[in-house]
Amino acid sequence: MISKELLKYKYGKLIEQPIEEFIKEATFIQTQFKDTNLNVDRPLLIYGNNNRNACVYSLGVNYSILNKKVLDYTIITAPHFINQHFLSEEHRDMELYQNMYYTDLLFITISQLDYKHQYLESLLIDLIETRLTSNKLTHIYFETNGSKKNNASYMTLFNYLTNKQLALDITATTKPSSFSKPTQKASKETTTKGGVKFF
Amino acid sequence: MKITIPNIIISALNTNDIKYVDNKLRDIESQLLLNEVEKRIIHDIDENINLGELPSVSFIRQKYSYAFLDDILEISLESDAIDSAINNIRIEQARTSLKLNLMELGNNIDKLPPNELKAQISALTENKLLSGKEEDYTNHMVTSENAYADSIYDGEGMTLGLHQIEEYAGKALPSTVVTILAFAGSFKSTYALQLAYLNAMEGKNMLYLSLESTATQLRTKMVLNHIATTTDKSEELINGKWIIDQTLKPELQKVYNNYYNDLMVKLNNRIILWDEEDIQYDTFLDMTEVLRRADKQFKKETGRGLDGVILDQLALLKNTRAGGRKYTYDGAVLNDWMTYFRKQALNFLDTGKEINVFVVSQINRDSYTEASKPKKRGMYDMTAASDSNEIERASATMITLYKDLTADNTLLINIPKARNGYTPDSPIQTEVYGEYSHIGPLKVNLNSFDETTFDLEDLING
Repeated sequence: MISKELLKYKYGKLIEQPIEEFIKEATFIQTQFKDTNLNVDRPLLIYGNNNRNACVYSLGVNYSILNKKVLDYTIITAPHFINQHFLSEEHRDMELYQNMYYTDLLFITISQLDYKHQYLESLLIDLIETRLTSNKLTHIYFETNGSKKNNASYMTLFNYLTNKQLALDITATTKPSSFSKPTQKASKETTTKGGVKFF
Repeated sequence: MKITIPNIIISALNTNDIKYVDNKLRDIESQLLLNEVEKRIIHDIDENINLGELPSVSFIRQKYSYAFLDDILEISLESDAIDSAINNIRIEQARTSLKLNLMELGNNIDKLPPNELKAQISALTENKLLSGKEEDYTNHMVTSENAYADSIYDGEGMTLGLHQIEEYAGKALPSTVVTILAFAGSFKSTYALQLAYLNAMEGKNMLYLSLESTATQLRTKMVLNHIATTTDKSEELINGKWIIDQTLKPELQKVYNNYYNDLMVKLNNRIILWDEEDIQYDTFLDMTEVLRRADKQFKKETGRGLDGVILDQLALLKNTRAGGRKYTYDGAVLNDWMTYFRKQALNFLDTGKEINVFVVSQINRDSYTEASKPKKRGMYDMTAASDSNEIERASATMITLYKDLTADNTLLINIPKARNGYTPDSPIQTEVYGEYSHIGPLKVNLNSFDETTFDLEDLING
């Protein structure tokens, strides 16, 4: 039996204010998690909307209960990861770096606003695969920022993950939007010379 | 050259090794027949050994020169010849004894009936000189009617405090040493004190030797732990800091007093708590005297002797004289102390009784740094003990404690050695409340948590 108190101590730091909103968000995500019937042994792509902490809380607690052990977790952003990667060992945050490889649950936040670097995708895929060989899970939290999902930036990564299992969509957030949505424009597709579409 | 018992004693004294001399005197007493002077010499030396010293050879020579002719006491053997000399005298004494017995039998042969004659002749053949054999040794590898009953321990071992630990290591059986290892400030003493408390509550007589904290401090912690273990009301939990800062509110002072007396009644004299003011522990003889005193006190107060000793902590014995031989480094002293306690566990005060010994020891800094890395996460291995190599060998069970820095109130426990069990793949997670001197869940928190239908709101708010 897992200790409720140990779960609280481990994941309590993720709780945000106002607490009622956080509870609603985390409960909503837990429901989505259960309803989607996910494979808990495979990495997961999560579409989120400003609810990363609630997502980590909910998934972390659920995975801990499934494993009958309070699982450690680490959260890192993709740009920070690649910045760390290119630093020499003396400048690198070794504890964070080691955590990325050895922690029980790793959550990597990516966003369409990130500076896109092709090498980053292969680094992320390599990290996920390396961790998978040690039966450690890595989840990618894609921050949609309230706008439509654009996975064009990370097509390779997303295809890799959705090939493992279906993505979890938790963008139907219960929270009111914290910033105003862009006004509707007439749909007008434009392309670059390279043929990449923009909304 | 005729070797006598005083020569052997003088030769042993010349080694200047208290432990060696003590052992040889015991050998001499058990194997040889002694006259009054020889007994007196041994008695003199024993009295000095009790004070942690050896008398000088010249003192013994001068004091007892009246009893010996010529310069017998001037003869001294080399140390590797002493055992042979003892055997030599034993054989001589056996010959003399046989000679006397044969002469007596010869004188009585006309007076004794046949069956009595037969019995006396048979007794003569038991003389070690004639029988020519050593004592029979027990053969353990034989068939048995109930091998299972022979194999199990008749009784219950001591608790290790948490059921998760016992799932891997089992209970602590008598005749074993359990070592508790942790880095500085990682709840070693809290755990050791909790073991004393829990085992005493189960009826075991526990001696707690604290070389670091005072008995008063430990007694206070025990009361706080007793409250944390037994109360259902969170408002009764007392933070140790309030006592140290003398800010404990009057109503909580009453609570403290009530639980204090409740604890003393329930313990019923089954814990003796001595700090360094109460004991001498410079030598093995000092420690033996401490154990003897505790055993006597338990017998007087509970009707039964000592069952377990907790030493907190081993490192503080490094500046003692221990066995009296020359030590070139601290580890050697501590190795000898571990051997001493292991022997006490196996054969307490040479009475044949088996007891439990718990030794608190320190983790070295390198092992702590290694265990703090994400890859290891609280997993110490057997080489983590800083104080003594003998810890790994002498311990039946090693339990390591690591305070999880990534979560509040979380302790990671590993069992790198479990002679009667097995080691876990990953550390055991448990709660720790230093402010209440308690390891494990608090009774106030033992509400049901159904893992299948739990509510996140309850977890976040509860």
